[in-house]
Amino acid sequence: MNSSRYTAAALAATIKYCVAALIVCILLIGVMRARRSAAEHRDDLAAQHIRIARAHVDRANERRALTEKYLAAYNRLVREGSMQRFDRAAAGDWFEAAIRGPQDGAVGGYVIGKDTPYTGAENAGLSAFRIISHPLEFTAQVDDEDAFVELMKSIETRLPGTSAAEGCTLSRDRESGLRMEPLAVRCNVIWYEFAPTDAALANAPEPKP
Amino acid sequence: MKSCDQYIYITGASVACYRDSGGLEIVAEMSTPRNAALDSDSLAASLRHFESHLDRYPHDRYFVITDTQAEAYQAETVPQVSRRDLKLLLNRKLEQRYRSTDYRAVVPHRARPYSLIRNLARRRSRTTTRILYALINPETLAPWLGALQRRALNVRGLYSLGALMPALIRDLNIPSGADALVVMRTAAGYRHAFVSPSGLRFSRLCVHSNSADSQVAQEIEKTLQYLTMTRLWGVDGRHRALHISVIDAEPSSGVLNVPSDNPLIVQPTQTRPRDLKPLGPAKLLDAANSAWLLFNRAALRSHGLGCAAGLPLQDAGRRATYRIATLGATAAIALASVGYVAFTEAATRESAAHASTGEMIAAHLDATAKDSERMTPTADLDAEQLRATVQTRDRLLMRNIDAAGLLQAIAAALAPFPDLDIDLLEWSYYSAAAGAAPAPPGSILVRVGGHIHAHLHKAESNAAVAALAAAIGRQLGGAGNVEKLPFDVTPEGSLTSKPNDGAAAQPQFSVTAAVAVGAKP
Repeated sequence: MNSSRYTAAALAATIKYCVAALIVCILLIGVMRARRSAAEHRDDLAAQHIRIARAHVDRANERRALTEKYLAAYNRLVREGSMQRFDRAAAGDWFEAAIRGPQDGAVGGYVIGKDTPYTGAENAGLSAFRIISHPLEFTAQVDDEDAFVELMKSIETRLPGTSAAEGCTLSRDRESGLRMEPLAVRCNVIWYEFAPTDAALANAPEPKP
Repeated sequence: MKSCDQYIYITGASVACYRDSGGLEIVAEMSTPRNAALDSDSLAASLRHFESHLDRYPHDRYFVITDTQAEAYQAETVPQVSRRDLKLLLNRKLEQRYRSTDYRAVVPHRARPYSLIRNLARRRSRTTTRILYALINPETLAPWLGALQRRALNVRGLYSLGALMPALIRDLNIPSGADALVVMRTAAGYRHAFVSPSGLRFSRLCVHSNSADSQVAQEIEKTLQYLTMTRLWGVDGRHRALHISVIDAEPSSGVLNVPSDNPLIVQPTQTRPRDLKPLGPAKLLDAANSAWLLFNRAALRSHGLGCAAGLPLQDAGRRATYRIATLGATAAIALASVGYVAFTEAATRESAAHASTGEMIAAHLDATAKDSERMTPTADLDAEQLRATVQTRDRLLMRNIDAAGLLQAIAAALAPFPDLDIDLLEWSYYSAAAGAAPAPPGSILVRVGGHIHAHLHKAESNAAVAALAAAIGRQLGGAGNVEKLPFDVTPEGSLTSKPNDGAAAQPQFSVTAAVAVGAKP
């Protein structure tokens, strides 16, 4: 006799097999979920890696562009001696050389004052150097305004380093009785020195041989 | 072997098995002794044959249909109650009516149109009539049903052929709302079924005899007499026509005539099984037994388990349902799981491919960054400090005040004022500590001092100095301010004048202008 598949035992066996199949399905789904999670995690890591690498490329390109743009100007400063240590005696020689010319003898005297750290807004973002200002005050007698302009032009163009004429006083002495009174000039010229900081030196890369 | 529907047709003289495997065909037939107690050997042989047949088809679905005279039909009028209560009530009635048999059921009932309104209009309490029926000789069925039960075969129901006959009404072209008496030739004889619009009301089996034509009409007349006597038909006040239809593969040669003076009786029409099922099984179409017309799922659908309800006979059928449900649910879950696995696998592959591409792109970008770093010119400062150094130097150089431009602007401002002589020109970056007039931090402060020619009136002198301050401010692109007027006009001041003193007659003035860095000149 062929056994029926509708007996209680057959139904129990069928249910067992179905439960086993369901367990297999659940395990399979679990394994697949784990695999998918791992793949998605790897994908996320790769995306993160791309973002980091892109930022790295952007930084490198930006640094390269900045270096290429400003290195020549910086090297020119170095060649001109603007980055050298300020020497008051040498500065006096520079000034005297600058005032020689058409208005030779106009400058009556000058004083190079003591060093002062510069705290203006112009050096914002600069950490490799400290700016130290060296004031030079001179007095002169010139015939007229044109002579004064010529003197200041000579100082501006011939004075080495980073300097700026930041203040002047021109007065005409009407009590002298002369028909054409000379102009008394008192001007301030500031030399700015780029003094390296220790931190900047420590961070500076090793020069390649 | 493919699972098919199988119909076991039990009559008083035989048991036949019809199998529906694409088309209905008879697959086994066993004769049964008229008196089993006297001819037990013959019954045992038939039973063995039947069991061997069952063993060949253990997975089929079995429908048992009886066509014997041992049946009883009973109309029960019961109050209208809820469906659940009605079921309980009818079961109780069945148990009371048919104590000797377990094979009993209620004929399916069709509510007649407007029955609800008709019931509401009744003065008496609302009632409904149900037809109970039972197979009242269970001993003749027990051996065959026992064989099915022992083998745990999928038995879907046990029915009387008479209870199934209302299914033929739709094929007989009988007007809806009419009563019908359907007479069908079967292996057991002629099966009469009286069907009203609400369903079967009565059925009986007339044994076939050789008197043939005359027997059919006589038996119809007897049935009509019974129906009239039991007030199932022909009651005063009921005016439904009675259509009589005879289904017989070998119809009478003459016209059937039922002697009656009732005008509501429509004379019998004869129908062949071939007319009802033109595409029916060839072997059965012209056979004498027309019971096969009812061996289909449509006829059985409204009957449920029939007389097998609540019996151990249906246990295997119930388990078969559970089995199908279990397998179906498992298959659905397995299919969904396979779909999920396939989808997840595809997504995993896509993620893996995406991740590989991402890793490749990242490696390429890393290499690009290293190349860019390698190609960057070497400097002793980093790029940011290079820029800061150069820009700081440029900004410091811009602090140089252009003396030529300043003098030109002041000369242009002085031109309209020939009576004002300049004695002092001063410019420097504004410093609050210097005590100068207030100015924005970082601006250039220009001071112009001088004296007035003696011939100028005092008010004109003050006006000229104020105008000069404005002109200087305009020329330098800043704000001019009078620091000292030649003649004091403040409320707390005083005016002292020596008209004869030439020097005192040339009072001094002073104006200032605050110029923002980067403005003219």
